[in-house]
Amino acid sequence: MKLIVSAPPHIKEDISIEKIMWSTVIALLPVTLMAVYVFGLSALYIVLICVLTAVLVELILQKMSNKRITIKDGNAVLIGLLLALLFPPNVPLWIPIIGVIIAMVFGKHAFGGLGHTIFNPSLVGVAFLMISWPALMTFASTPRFGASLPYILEYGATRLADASPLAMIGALYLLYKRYIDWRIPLSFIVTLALFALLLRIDLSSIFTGVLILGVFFLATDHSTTPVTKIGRFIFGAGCGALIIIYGQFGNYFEGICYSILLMNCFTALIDLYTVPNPSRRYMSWLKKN
Amino acid sequence: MKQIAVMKVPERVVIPVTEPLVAIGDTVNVGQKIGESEHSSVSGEVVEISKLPNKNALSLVIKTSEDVSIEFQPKENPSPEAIKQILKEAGIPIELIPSEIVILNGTDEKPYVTANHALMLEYPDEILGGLKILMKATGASRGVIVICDSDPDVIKVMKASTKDIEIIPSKTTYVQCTEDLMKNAIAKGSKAMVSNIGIAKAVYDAVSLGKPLIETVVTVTGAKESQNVLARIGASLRSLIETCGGYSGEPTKIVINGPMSGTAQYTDEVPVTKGVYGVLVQYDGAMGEIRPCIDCARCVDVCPKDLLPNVLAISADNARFDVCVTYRLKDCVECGSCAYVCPSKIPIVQLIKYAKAEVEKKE
Ligand code: SF4
Ligand code: SF4
Repeated sequence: MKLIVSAPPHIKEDISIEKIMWSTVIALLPVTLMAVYVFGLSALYIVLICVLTAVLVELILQKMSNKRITIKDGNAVLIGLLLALLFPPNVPLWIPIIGVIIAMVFGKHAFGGLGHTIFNPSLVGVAFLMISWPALMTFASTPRFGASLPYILEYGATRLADASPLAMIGALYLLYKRYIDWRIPLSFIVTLALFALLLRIDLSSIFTGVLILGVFFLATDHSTTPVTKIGRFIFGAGCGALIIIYGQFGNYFEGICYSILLMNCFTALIDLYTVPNPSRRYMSWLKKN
Repeated sequence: MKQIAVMKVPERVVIPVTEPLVAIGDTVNVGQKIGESEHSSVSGEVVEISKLPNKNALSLVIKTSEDVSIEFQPKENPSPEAIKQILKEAGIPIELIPSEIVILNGTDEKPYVTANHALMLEYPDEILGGLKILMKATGASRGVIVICDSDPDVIKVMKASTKDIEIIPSKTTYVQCTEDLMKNAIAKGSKAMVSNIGIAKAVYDAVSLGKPLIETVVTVTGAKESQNVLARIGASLRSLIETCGGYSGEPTKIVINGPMSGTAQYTDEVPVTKGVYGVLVQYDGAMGEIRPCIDCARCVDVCPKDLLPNVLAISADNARFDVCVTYRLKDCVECGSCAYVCPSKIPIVQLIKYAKAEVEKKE
């Protein structure tokens, strides 16, 4: 009998990077399908090109630098998919390719890959494109008309993610499994709603698929957000406030992308100043009857 | 249903003692004192006295003959001082400190350990009796038993058996094994002593029945039939596992006590000692591949001490022990919760232990 002797704990939760990434991808599938339904094949091409490019770039980079190939963990697929959902449906197909390459090379691998990123890779790609080809990043042609169900089937949508905000309901499952954090979305939405109320901004103009994508999928990216509990509240609140400021002067789409990117810059600082207080009481886990 | 299976008397027992009172060839009876605070758990002959590999103690091997037991003589209504003496004589590992509250930790590391659950269902009156004896000995006026809220059956039984002892349900997490936290939360600053269910039962046996500590209830998980077993002190883990139908495959890991903070063993020859409450057999040792930390903060969310386990682990890995200390390395109670939830399978506790050892070396 050969026994393994190792340090505790001797059991681990059934969770892995793969599980988190692929579950997130699955949670995004309904909105992807809705986008294809609303926009037709062009949306499908964008998604496929983004995902394939992302996987390919990662494969090539890791082969070149003799690193472990990690395309199976789903992170590359997720970065590609998130990026795809931010495009307008009529974007020329070379644009997504460039965006994904930027995202993977300068967003993810330049910093050392998964776990070391500082800026959300997908947003790095989008930001680059918005600066370089602003005209191509907006919806040019007239949207198709038809009967539309608000928030479920938006024929007037201008970006893939906007096709069906409610199709991202899968985020609730991710929250429940704690694959994504709940503090960031909560403080994000609360801050946004408060400001909108104060400044009398019509919430429906802000409430789009891209916002939902931003709140639940982009702002909750693990590596680029704070790890302390208070820090995550601050991060979400910061995103919410910055969107409003942006929206006042620019457009909300840019606001969502840039606010999250800007808060990514502050992540390390927030973490540093919100190290948990040692004098906290540990009452909460004991229920009195 | 019977909660606790009784182990058949093992052929030989190995009992670590500091100063043996018997010599090779002596015959001993069940309950006979064989060391400073050790008693024989079987009747038989002392066949070997050897040095334990890494401890400063001797181990006494007793080969069982027929099981003769001696009559135990309880003392009538002992004084607090006398109780202290009795507990010491009975070899019960407990330090009585004068306090206002005595807390019994009745929580289990579920689903792997259920010894407390079984004990409370089987012996509610004995445990309450033991708690009252402890209260008397320490001068405490309040007695508290903390039970997992996922054990409504136990809570019901215990509540039905007592009026003056407080039964407090606690959320079921792994962390409650840290008695420190429990003490702070309940006593809120007043003097308290924390003990556990098994000890309370042993205290009752010693004081009210005159019986020394020679048996302990152990939850065996991972054998053919997982169950709670009343095991003799000194019986080997193998004999314990055989009582439960034996191994159900080639084991890769045997852990004493809970899976979150228990110790993996080199061999199944290791004897059951006082304080053992669980044995876990695993057949698949693979814990998953270690990947880089993704800063998901799951570990931060579960840490009962409000630490940043990810920072501790990474700093320890980079030999930045000074950073570990600033991030309150010493507050870590090594509960294992962080490593349990880590998707990257980072051995956080191992790294923290390593950092603690390094920091200690420097001091
Ligand atoms: S750092 Fe890990 S082992 Fe230490 S107290 Fe926190 S959760 Fe428990
Ligand atoms: S749970 Fe693991 S991967 Fe996540 S932050 Fe903690 S150490 Fe890093």
